[in-house]
Amino acid sequence: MQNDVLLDVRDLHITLDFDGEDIPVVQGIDFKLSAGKVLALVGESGCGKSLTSQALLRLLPRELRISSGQINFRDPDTQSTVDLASMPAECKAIRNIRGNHIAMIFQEPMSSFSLLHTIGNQIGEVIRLHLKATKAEARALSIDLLDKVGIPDPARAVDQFPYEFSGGMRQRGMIAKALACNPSVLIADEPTTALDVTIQAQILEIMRRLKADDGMSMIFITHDLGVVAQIADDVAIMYMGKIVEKGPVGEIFKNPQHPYTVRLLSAIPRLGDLSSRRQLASIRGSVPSLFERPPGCAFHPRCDSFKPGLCDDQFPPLTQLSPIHEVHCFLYQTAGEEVAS
Amino acid sequence: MSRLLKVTDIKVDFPIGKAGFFGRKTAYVRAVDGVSFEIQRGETLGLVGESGSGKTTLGRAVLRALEPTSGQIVYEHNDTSVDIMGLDRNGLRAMWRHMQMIFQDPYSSLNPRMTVRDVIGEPLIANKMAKGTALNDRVVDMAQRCGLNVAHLSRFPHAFSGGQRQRIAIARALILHPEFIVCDEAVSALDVSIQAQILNLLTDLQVQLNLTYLFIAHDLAAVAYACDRVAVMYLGQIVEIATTEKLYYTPKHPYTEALMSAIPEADPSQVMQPVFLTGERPSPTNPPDGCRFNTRCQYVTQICRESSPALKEGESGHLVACHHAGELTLKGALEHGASISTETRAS
Repeated sequence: MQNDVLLDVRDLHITLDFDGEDIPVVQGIDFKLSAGKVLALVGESGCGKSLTSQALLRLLPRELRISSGQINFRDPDTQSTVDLASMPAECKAIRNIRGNHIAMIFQEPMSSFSLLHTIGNQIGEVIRLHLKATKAEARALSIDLLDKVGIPDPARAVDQFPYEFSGGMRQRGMIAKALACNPSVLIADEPTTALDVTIQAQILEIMRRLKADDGMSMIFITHDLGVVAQIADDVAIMYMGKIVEKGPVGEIFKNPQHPYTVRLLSAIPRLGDLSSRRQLASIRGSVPSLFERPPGCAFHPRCDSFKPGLCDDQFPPLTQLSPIHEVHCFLYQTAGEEVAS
Repeated sequence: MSRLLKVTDIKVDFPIGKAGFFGRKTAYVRAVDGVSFEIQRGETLGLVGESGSGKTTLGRAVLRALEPTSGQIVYEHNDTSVDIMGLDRNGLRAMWRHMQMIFQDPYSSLNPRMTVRDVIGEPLIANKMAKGTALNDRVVDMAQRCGLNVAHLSRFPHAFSGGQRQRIAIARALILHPEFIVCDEAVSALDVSIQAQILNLLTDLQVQLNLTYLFIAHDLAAVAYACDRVAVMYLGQIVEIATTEKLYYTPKHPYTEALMSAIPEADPSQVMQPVFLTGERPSPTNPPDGCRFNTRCQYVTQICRESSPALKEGESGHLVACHHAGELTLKGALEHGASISTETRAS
């Protein structure tokens, strides 16, 4: 593994056990997360982005499992690399990584806290479990963490219950809890989706500071391309369980190549040119259900560049457009072969 | 353009807490507090604001789907002014043929036991406006206008995706040929590509059927795209109304500035520089004295704490409720980062 790569996911497959039948949900995705970088996994609902993030920490629901692939994580302290995919989901080693080295924040700040314990107790629990700190130390550290995420009067907030917090404060509390053990990777699953736009801006600012000041590496799961543009370094676009295009954020937004990425980017309302409004490009049809996955490239029934006999036959192999820009589409496959011959 | 709807000083109170021993209510929260606005025929008025600002309550109160506590609603119909607040139950039901609503969640707004044909046709049957082949013809016509296939009509809602369900909900709302539609977060629950389809559909139908929309949403980019004018709500009051361009590019209220500067533009070279609001939004049960925004406003002065500013017209068509509306120079959407080039960002 390269030195600055913390997470290296290779050919990850996730399947759903549906009455004894294996339904593929995530079909062989590869990505790397480098130290200090923010990687955004982007896609519409049902593309498998959230399941991928849950699989990284082995938090998949019972009916889903990792059927093959590797999740190589390099512990920055010991420099040893472990394959999280090969471990049992409930072993001691994974518990040590979960929350300690890789932490996660979720979309629903309302349901992610226990209603019956104070915010301080819940953050302190993480600290005491992983860092073997005393109650007093845990409390002091909790106050520091709440302060760091911008909660006013943290010494008072630490003894408050979740119902006393607003949605934005709860999401900050979640981030504080995730940061408790100073993890090297933060996985954020739609962390701002349920929030108002002004609160979203504050949460994004906290995450941006974490990256700038602490060098935090993040995997950011979202469907909001505006948020992606503002926070991510690298972007992986997912469609029906596969990554179809991957590259640096500037490259993907300025120079998208996969027909799905191109259409997705033109379907978002933008503020830059309000005079041209009311003529959004859309993608025809909708995402098929998991049980009706189209053969070959799953996007082909909605694609304008569909080539019969090719796109509906096999999934296009990876085309390396540049050292940093990858796409899975036959449009570029043929071009690549011509250049090669 | 002629006026379709005029709303004056509308207020909506909700009782909170337990009813007393004799059923007396103990306290009220004023969800909508003295809102006035007009909608012209054929336009789309956007209504934005954060959760809890009262925008959904206002949308419902305008139709009297939720009974306002006080205020006037005048609706122009067939060259006569109808006083909506003065109508009895039957009169109101008759007016509802012309005023309809589309809801956010297409999963809970459609009856799972009815076929799509029955869902779309039910308003016609309930109003005894069509039956037999005439009913079927109208259902088929409206379904096709909304992008549904005739073969879909005999299926049940569970067989459809969110986008298709929203098309069914739109067809049902439009089957009576109404003039005025309240779209309450109609595209908020949909994926990007589907949201674009539904926004385009609403725009096409507006032109074809000469519809007027009140478009309630929290997604500011979608609102900018869909609306001619936009009203901003904060704690139950409208703080600013203007044409979309004016409101987004040259806002006059500090709260609008905070909203606009916080929109994440889908362009990595436009780095967002939001105006952060300090403090928490006050509870609507106990709003601050004076201007309701004064506790979080960075331009606050003594007068803001003492008296509540009225919604006044500065420039033509640009209404603001701020004591300092004329003096402040505020940031609009996209003003941030305009000077930051792609090169500096990439490095």
